[in-house]
Parts: sequence; C-alpha cells; structure tokens
Amino acid sequence: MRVTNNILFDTVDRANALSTERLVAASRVASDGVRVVKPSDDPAAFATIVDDDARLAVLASRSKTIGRVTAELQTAETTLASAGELLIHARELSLQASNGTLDASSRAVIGVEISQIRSALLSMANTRGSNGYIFGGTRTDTPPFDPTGAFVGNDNAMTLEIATGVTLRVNPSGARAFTPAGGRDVFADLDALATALGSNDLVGINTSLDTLDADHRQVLSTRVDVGLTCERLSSSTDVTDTAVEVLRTARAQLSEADIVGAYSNLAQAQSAYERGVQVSKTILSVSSVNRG
Amino acid sequence: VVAPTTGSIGVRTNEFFASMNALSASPTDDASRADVVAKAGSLAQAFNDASAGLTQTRVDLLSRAQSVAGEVNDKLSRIATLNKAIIEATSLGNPAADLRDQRDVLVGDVSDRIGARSIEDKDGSVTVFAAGMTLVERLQAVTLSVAPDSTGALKIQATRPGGSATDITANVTSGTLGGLREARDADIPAVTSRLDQLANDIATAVNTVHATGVGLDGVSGRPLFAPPTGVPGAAATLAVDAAILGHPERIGASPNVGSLPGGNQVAVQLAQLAGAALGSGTTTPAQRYGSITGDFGITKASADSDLQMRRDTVSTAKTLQESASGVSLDEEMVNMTRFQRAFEASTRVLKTADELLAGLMQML
Repeated sequence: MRVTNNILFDTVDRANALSTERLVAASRVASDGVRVVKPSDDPAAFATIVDDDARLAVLASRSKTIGRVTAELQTAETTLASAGELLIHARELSLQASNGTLDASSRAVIGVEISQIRSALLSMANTRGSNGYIFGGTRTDTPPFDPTGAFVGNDNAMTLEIATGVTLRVNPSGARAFTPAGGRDVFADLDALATALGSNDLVGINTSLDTLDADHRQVLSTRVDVGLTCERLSSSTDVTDTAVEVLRTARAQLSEADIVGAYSNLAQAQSAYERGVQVSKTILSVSSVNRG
Repeated sequence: VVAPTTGSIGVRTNEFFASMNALSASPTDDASRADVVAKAGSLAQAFNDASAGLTQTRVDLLSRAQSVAGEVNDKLSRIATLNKAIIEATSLGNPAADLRDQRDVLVGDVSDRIGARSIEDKDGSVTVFAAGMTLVERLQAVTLSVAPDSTGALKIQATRPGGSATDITANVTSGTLGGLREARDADIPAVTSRLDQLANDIATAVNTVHATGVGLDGVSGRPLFAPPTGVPGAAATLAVDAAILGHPERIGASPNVGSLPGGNQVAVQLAQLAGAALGSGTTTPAQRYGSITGDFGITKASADSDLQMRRDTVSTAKTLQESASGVSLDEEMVNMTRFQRAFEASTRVLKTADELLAGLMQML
C-alpha cells in the first residue's frame, strides 16, 4: 500500500488524539481515585452503586433513629429502676409500720413519708424525654398521670423498623408499669397504705405488704421489657453496622479505583503519550523533501 | 442531567426516606416534620430539574438539527451550482478538475450530515440521493426544513423548487441529522417517560400511605405530594402538596386520632417504602432509578463505542482512498529526481550529438 503524506499525518493525528484521551482519563482516575463517576463509565456498576447508596442511606438512618430511641429508653429504664427502689422503700416502711409495738402517731408519721414517696413516684411516672412524656404511650404531650394518680395517657405503641420488615415497640408502657393494665394500680395501692397508716389500720397495713410486692414486680417487669428492647436495639445496631461495613466495601470495590493500578495506568498512559509525540516528531521529520 | 454528581434523584430519594425514618423516631418534633417537607420538596425539585434538563436538551437538539439542515441546504445549492459549471466546462472539453474536487468535498459534507450517496452522470453532473429521495439533480437542489410536528417530534421535509414538501422524517436514519433525530425523539423521550413513571409511582405510593395517616391537627386523607394528573409530565410537575407546604404539622405520621401526637406507624410505613417494590413492579425506587441511569449509561457507552468503530472505519476507508489517489511527496520526489536524471541524460546525449556534429562540420 502506498503511504501518502496525508495518510501519515492522519495516522499521527489519530494516534496522538487516542493517547491524549487515554492520558486525560488515567489522570482523572488517579487524581480523584474514583473509577465510576457517571453511568457511562460502567453502567452495570453505576446501577448497583445507586442501589447500594439507597441501602446505605436506609441503614445509616436506621442506626441514627435507633440511637435516639435507645437514649429515650435508657431514661425510662433508669426511671423505672428508681421507681422500683421507691416501692421497696415503701414496703420497708410498711413492714416497719406493721410492727404491733408502734403507736398511731408513729404510723401517721410513716404515712406522711408514704405520701411523699407517692408524690416522687408520680413525678417519675410523668418523666419527660426528648419526645415528650415517656410513659404516656403515644399521648406524649400531656402528663400521663394526673395529681390523683389517674392514668390519662394511652398504651398505644410507637414502633420502629429495626431490620428490613421487622418492627419493634420502642416506647415503654406506663400503663403496664403503674396501672391496673399491668395488674395493680400502684398509686391507688400507695394511697390505700397512706390511708391505713393515717387511720392506724393494721389490717390495711398488712395487706399493703402484698400489694407493694406486686407493685414492685409490676414495675420491675416493665423495666425488664425496656431492658430487653434496649438489647434488641443494640443487637440491631450491631447488625446494621456490620451491614454498613459490608455494603461500603462492596460499593468501594465497584466505584473506587485501585490506587496502585490507577497510578500504573497513568504512568503507562504518560509513557505512551511521550512515545507517541516522539514517534510523531521522527516520522514527520523523515522526508526526502526535507533533505533536498 | 439524569445522574448529576450532586443532588441526583437517587440522592434526594434516599434523603427523603431517611427524613421520614427520622420522623418515625420523633413524630412530635417540629424540626423533623419540617425536614420531611423540605426533603420532599428537594426530591420533587430533582425530578423537575431532570425533566427540565431533558426538555432543554430536546430544544437544543431541535435547534442543532435546524442548523444542520441549513448547512445541508447551502451545500446542496452549491453542488447544483457546481454541477452547472462542470456541465458547461465538460461540454467544452475541459475536465474541470478543480470544480469536481470542490463538489466532491461538498458531497462528502452532505453525506456526513444526512448519509447521502452520489452518482456522476455522463454530462459531468452528480445526482445526490439521501433519505429515499433525490436531493440534487443536475441544476436543481431540494430544500430541507426541520420543525417540530404536532406531537413535538422532529419533522424533516424536503421541498423541490416549485414543488410541494415531502415528509422524509422516517427515512432520515443516518448522518448527523439521523443521529440528532434518534437522540431527540427516541432516546430522550424514553428516559423522560421512565422518569415520569418513577415520579408518578413514588408520589402515588407515598400519597397512598400518607393518606392513612393523621396529622397533628387530627385530619387524615391528605396527600404528601400533589397528586399527579397522569404519568406523562409527572416528573416535570412533581411538587409537595399545597396543603402540606408550610404546614409540617399536617404530615400524617400517626395511624389514628387516638394515637396522636406520638403515633408514628404511618411514618414507619412511609420510611419502609424505600425498600419496597414500587407500583406494580418488583423493584425499589433506588433500583428503578439505577436501572434508568444504567440503561442510559449503556446507551451512551454503546454510542461512544459505535462512534469509535465508525471513526476507525472512516479512517481505513480514507487510508485506502488516499493510497489510491493521494500523493506521496517522497514518491514524487524520487520520480522527479528520476525524470530529472533522464532529462539530464537526454540533454547529455543531445550535447554529445551536437559536439559530434560540430566536430564533423569542422572536419568538412
């Protein structure tokens, strides 16, 4: 085949354009370390990256909400622990008052202390968290227990998705902790004890020993439920964190460039470019016309 | 346009569902509610921007197609003029090589733009064909016009001098004009249609669940996005419902009035839509968007590869043409030297003969 000067120029031109294009692409990958920036870089990988990003967003968001709810539940657990201790103290006072040697005035003094315990317990049952009143079910905007100890909240659940398709109740049940919904009306029991102490009613005082035991078990049971919920949330966080790591690794493998490979490609592209320029110079300078 | 590096539909969708998830943990929190409204607005805006970008690209492509048609018209007219000059020169026995060269370049340019072929007639004129019709015949050239038809698609017409316009749209399948037409009226509408479907399905799915929720004002049945009037145009018109804009307390997070204000189950269900099959399909919103961008990427990568292949083909053809008809300066230099030497040799022969004759004359 005859090689004309136009063929020579066109060949050099095309070779240089290709090596420049390759050099620019290799420079971009080596400088930002990202292999897939736009869909045409690797269409299948781009679609998978979009899906991975959505999964990561869901997991990150889930992790955040679990953290927030866990903080709320820890407040509830601490509050229920303190409530349990108050009830133990109330039972100890009740046991002390049931001693037959105590006179009416001493029992009346214990009755005053029981009333103070009741007030402290009422205050605990009306504890506020970042989402409002903790023990009011979904009625978080008003104190769930009025001054008489009557429950004005509800026992509706607030749920959270802790894994795909798995939801869990995440608000503690004030109804089951303090009201007959859990078995006993804790505030009514304390009121009954205070009344029995005030009226020096030994039978009533003795009866309260059993009811306070039941009250304590009831509060404890709700505390255990809260603790179990915290544990499930914690294990869900672990699973979520692991899934995030796995997905991030998978995403990085798809989207990010192997740095060593990227630099190697850049070096190759640069070398090819320089060789191309040198070859062009040589080819274009070789002509019998120039030697004329 | 479809997959910008920041603020893509995929990113905005993720942010929207994440804000809904955050709301499920704090249904009474004003900031969380306001964030849901803001993120819904950003998602709608991402759809609007993508749709507007595609529409603008179609407008740009129409303008470019009209420019290309203008260039083709100019070149067709010049080919006809050159035909006339060549016919006249040929009739006088002049091959008119320069004029033919000029005409060949113009025919090549027309071919680039509309995929034309040409045949040279006995009188020296060329007839140029493309898109199923004759564009230039001897001294006459058709005029191409490009305009949108009633559906907004490109309509390419060819008008003969003094004749009526012929619709050649369907036959314009190659060259720059064919490529512009395919990109504008096939590739972009396909993506637009899929984005419309996605916007419609997301809005419908979200609205269906949201309507079951009760706002803090005790009202249920509200849509979160303005209900799409249909699939076509859904991406362009997606917006947060007017009743929700500026009223984050109206977001229906609670399943019933009795669960207010802390009820969150509807917010949980809305957040779960991120991982649920959308509409009548089997893929999540992200997978659907990934599929759209992936297919778009395949189209682009395939076009790039096709372009490279065609460039190589053109280059090979040009090389062969050049090899047959081009000039190698080296070869010509060698030839020139050879002929120069031959000339010098013959001159020497003449000189020798002259000297011999001169000697002979002197002897006589």
